[in-house]
Amino acid sequence: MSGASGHALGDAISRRGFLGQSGIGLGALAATSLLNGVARGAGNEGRGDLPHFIGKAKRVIYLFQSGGPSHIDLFDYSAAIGKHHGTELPDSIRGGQRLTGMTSGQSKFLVSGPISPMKQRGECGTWMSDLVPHTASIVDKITVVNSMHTEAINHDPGITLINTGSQIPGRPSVGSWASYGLGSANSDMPAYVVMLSQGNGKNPGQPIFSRLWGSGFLPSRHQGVLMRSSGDPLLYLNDPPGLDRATRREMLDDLAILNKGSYARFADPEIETRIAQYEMAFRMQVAAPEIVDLSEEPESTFKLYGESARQPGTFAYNCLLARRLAERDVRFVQLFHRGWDQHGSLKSHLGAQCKDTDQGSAALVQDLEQRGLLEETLVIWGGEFGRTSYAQGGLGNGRDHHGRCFSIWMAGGGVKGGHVHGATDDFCYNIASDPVHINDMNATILHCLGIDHERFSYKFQGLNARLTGVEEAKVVRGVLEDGQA
Amino acid sequence: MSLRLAGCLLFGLSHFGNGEDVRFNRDIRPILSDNCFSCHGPDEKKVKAGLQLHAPGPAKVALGKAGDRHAIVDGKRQESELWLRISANDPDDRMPPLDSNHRLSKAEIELLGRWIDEGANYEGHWAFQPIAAKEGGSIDSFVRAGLEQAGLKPSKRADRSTLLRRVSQDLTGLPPTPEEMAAFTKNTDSEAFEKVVDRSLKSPAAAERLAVDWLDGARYADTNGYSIDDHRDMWIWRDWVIHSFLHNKPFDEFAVEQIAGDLLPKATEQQRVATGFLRNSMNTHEGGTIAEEYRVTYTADKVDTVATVFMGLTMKCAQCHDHKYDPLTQREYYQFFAFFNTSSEPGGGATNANTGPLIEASSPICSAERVKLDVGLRLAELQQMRVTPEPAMSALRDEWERATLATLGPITPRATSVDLNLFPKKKPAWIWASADQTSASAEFRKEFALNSEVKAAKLWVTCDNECHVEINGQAVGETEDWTRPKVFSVTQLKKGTNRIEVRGVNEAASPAGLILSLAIKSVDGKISHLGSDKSWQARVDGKAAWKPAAVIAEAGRGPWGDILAGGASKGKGQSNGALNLALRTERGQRSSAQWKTINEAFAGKSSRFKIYRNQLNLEERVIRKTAENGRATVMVMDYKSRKTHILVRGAYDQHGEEVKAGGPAMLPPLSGAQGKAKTRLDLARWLVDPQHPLASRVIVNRYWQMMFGAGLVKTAEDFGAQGEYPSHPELLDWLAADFVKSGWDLRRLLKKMVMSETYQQSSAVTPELLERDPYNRLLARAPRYRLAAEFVRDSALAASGLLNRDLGGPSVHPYQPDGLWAEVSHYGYPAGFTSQKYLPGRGRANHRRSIYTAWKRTSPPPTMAIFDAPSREICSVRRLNTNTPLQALVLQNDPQFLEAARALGEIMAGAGNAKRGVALGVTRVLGRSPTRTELKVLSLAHARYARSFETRPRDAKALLSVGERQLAGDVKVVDLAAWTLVASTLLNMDEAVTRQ
Repeated sequence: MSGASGHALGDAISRRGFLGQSGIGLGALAATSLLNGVARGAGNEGRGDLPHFIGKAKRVIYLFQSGGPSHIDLFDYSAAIGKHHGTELPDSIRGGQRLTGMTSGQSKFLVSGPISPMKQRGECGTWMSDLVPHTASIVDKITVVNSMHTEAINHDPGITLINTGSQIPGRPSVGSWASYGLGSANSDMPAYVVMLSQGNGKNPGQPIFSRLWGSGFLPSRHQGVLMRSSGDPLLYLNDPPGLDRATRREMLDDLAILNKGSYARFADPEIETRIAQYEMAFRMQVAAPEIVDLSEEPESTFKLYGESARQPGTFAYNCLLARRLAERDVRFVQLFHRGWDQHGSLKSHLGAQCKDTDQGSAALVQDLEQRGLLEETLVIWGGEFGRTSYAQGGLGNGRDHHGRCFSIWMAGGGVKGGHVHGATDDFCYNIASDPVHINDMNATILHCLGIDHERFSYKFQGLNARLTGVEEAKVVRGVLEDGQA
Repeated sequence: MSLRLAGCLLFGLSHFGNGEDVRFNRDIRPILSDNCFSCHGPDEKKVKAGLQLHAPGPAKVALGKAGDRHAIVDGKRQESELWLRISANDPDDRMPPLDSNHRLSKAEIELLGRWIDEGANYEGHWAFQPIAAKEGGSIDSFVRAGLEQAGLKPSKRADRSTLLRRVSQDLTGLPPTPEEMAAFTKNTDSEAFEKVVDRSLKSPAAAERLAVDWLDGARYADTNGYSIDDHRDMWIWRDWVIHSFLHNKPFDEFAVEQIAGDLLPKATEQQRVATGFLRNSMNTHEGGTIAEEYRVTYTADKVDTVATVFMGLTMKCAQCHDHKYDPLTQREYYQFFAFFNTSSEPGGGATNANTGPLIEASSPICSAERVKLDVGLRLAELQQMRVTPEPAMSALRDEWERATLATLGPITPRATSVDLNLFPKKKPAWIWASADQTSASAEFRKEFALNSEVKAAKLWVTCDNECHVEINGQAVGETEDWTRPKVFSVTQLKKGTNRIEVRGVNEAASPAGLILSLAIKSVDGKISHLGSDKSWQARVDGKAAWKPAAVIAEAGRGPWGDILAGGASKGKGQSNGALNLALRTERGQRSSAQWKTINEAFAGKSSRFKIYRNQLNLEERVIRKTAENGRATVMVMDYKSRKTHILVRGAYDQHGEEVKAGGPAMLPPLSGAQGKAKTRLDLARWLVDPQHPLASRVIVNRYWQMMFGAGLVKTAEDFGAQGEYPSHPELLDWLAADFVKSGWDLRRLLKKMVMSETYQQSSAVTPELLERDPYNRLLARAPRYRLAAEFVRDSALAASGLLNRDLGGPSVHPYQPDGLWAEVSHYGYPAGFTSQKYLPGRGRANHRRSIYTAWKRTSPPPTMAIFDAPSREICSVRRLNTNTPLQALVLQNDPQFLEAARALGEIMAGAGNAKRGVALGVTRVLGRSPTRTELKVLSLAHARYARSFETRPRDAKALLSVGERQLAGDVKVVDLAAWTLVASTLLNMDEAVTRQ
């Protein structure tokens, strides 16, 4: 409803809610400190009680692969699957699993091995497909998790679940939780920046939605801000034609005088906040174009990321921008790359998707490492589910959605290099060891940022709502440098 | 937070203790609910140690093996296990446990101790108790009582201009007009304000303003939601809502019609339209969806919406298990669910359209003529987009036009149509580039020689999914639906060597194939044929080597059946002449048929343009009927008998015990007709029964929120145990009782609020007030807060004189940055979905009130989202109110606001001199006269900008070019540009977007 019932003071209120719960004496709650909290809100300083501990990661770059990349063709190696190729998937493996309407009517479920050879790579010997040679070259820097799982079987609920912790729309996204909890470390850019790209494999790919970077019930200033490849880099960023920077500055100075006049009459702290927000907008108008100005990038950058990194809107370009945003301490950067939904045309489409993403993703990890940023930046690569090891349509034609197991990889920010976590059965169909639910992964992301996911909640509709939901979620210690093996 | 607790925090604990009793609902329940109920509350499955604290019975039973211990011993904290455990020093003994993340403060522990000492009296949860209204009293008397208790005094009355603007913003969402201001200033009699209130309340603008909030709760949108999120038509329902507010429909009727209008005796069309409220749920037709799972989801969404909007209950918490905080079992949830589970609504939603059950209806506020006019204008806009597409597309087409003209040569005469036998004796075959048919696209070619001139030729062709055919480098035509082969007249053949080329596309993961037959009649009357077969060459995806085509199946065989027998639709071939002539015609002179010829030809060459054109086709298709009859369909409720089961853990396919429709036991009995199953109508009437403790409280609270910025119960969405205790419980009950007694008269309720002295106070804050009551829960001053998203935009339009006041009608498409819908949607998907690309309107649509802006749930209007509007995917009854740099950028740079600044600049420029211009602008935007500082700063600014633009008139012109609105011919560019910047500064002022 329109109204100010959730005034910007709302942040301060929830802050007080926390302090009240944590047993800090009322003395610490002098009203002036609450008001300071409001004024500080202009810079989005996050919640006062966070981080809970010193996290290895200061920031996250989430390379989200929308549509459900095929774990079986890319990461999850099974020595045995070859000999089952072309045979009916045993009922004991499928185990009455609920299938999407797209293959539930199929009469045969033929096991279909990986479309491209897989090899052991690097010193660690992690298996990886020929389809992703660049990623294969960085296996010693990453952890591959082959035992991810989700209950969702379709894109909308699946992608909503992994990004917000719930299949039902309306909850805040991972990035907005990070912004709400930790705030921005940069006074010129938002804490949570989102970039979109469309793959060449399946074009258009499955739709995505603003709820995936939305703030749900958290204050909307924590929603992801789209950084766009055409038009203004941030919505409404550019001044209109004919208005130069000097004139804009004059306008803001005048505006500040007028607003201070209002403040003199009403003494409302929101007026001061607004003045500060206009100043931040002015700084953003300089900062954001700098981020997309690649003219100072040396040739070696484009060698590393590939020529497509020169072209705005490509995945590689967005990876390069992600590095530039990380350099500027943006807390949470999320790329959404569409087109991973290979129900058919598996060979050509999956190949095209890999070509879009492989070099840029690997380059980002290498680049961050070269710049000394990898240790403090958690990089995640993965989608909302995997794909069936049985064929959809004819053998080799395509694969349906598969939530029982899928693979992602992660690097930096306190995560082990050269490691594989979890395993699946011979058919890459069921998890054989160390299952990792989506909520466990989200708990782990928060952990890397120094947040205890169980203690990180926001009161909504009477519940202390958490990113990781009501069922118990566990930090995946096995992927952490300092966790047990 | 209760007043008492707020007081506690504000004034320190010493305030507590002297005299006043501890009260369970106000003081104790919030502590227990927050910290203890998750293990010791109403959810029986989660109870630990056999202890439940939510009710006196279970809380006071004997515990332990010997049965000799009690959690609570009335009057004796030292004998009460509850007290001993919460105050224990040993962390192992202490409650709540360390790992629960709950912690009690010293003050809370002491409160619990005092409560036990005073007898540990329980009260039922306040919101479930009957409404207990005191006789007499007024808003002001209740608020003053609170202030006195806290030792505060109300603020003085706001000045008249502030008051006029405030009441105008609150009741209509618009600032007062200069005429209204002038009249109010002149009329100083004691009833002047009341007259303003009465007039505002009755205005159409007020109906629109009230509807905005209702749309949030009802999760209204113009798209279906979920992943594909295509077009739906629910605007007739929106018009019904506006109409109801316009006629001050008693709120109980308003509620009953929306929940069960279809079940009313002799239900009218409009009463059925009202049930669109329930059908505003999202629905999906994403491939692979399990329909029953989603049918259950839509039903649960209706439960959630009704429970939130009318009862302030978080019922969905009981979908999977008993409610953890409120006395609501999972069984009761499904009894409630059963009311909505009896409809024919399917799980799989319709594509690009409303999903049944639906009816066609008329708008109650907008005449069929106006609807036809509006939709006709939209159709004209879409048509215009074919002639002048978006800039990037125009540039592409221009380039193609030039290149094509250069290759076409002189115009050749159009061939006469000749009846030809389309097929040779040997039927053509289905071919593709590879036998496995997995490639997404394939190209085919064949060269052949003709010995004589051609008199006529026809091509029969189809391709799964679609193809584009060229002969001798010129487009012949294209197919779109493989089940409908097309026949084209061919004019591109010549004596000698000819080349036919086909590009086939197979976008879905299904078999692919091309089949065609070319029949040629030479000037000597002979007929020859050329059919698709293995003699053709083919290649995959435009890059592999050419090789012989693979024959997939003979005609009449294979996966496609006997398509030759099905006949063919007549394809519209590209005669070289028509295209040639069209391209040679001046742009402004081209007929729509010529544009069509050009666009068809270009679509054959450019997939980007083809996608764009297909989108235009689809968008036209879904509104064409409305353009003809001025009506539209609306999704409504109906009745279809269906059993309801408890769903184990909320899973759609885990049927537990069967349940019948019914109300929760914690509330008054919900009765139906004797011996009959209870219906939605029974439910609706029960909700608005005077005995029901929730609906009237919840509704008046939300209107209090609308007028005062925050509800008396701040958690407007939750009146349960976890919600906040009312700041003024007696006032809430008094208002609720009065509202019911008045016959649910909303206008009267709102008038009561705005006529109160509490409402009319100044919103100025003093440091003392800010320190003592930072959240203004005690209302020692009027609240001051930013306008809701819609009214930020509407106010700028009104102040600049641009606002189009048309009431009701279909949604419109004002300014929006390019690409926002397309980059997240299925735009370009061959099956073709609507609302995948935003096609901005080009005229009046830009100035309608924001309530009419087309709302796509997966990409809501960006400026609305930036100013805190929800996505409308689910019910929402309270918006947060943030203050961000992105908001600053919208007000500064959105063409909508820049165009408004220009229009306001024109008004200010016409005032005669700078000071008068500034005064006029301030009056229009801020509803008051300017301060001396404002006059000085802004007139100096105007002079400075004018001087600056004098040296760079091109910049001035560029600035004035923003927006669709035409610039008047005789305008003084430099002066107007300067005024535009002054106006923009005004529109960016904190006060401009604030209700104060």
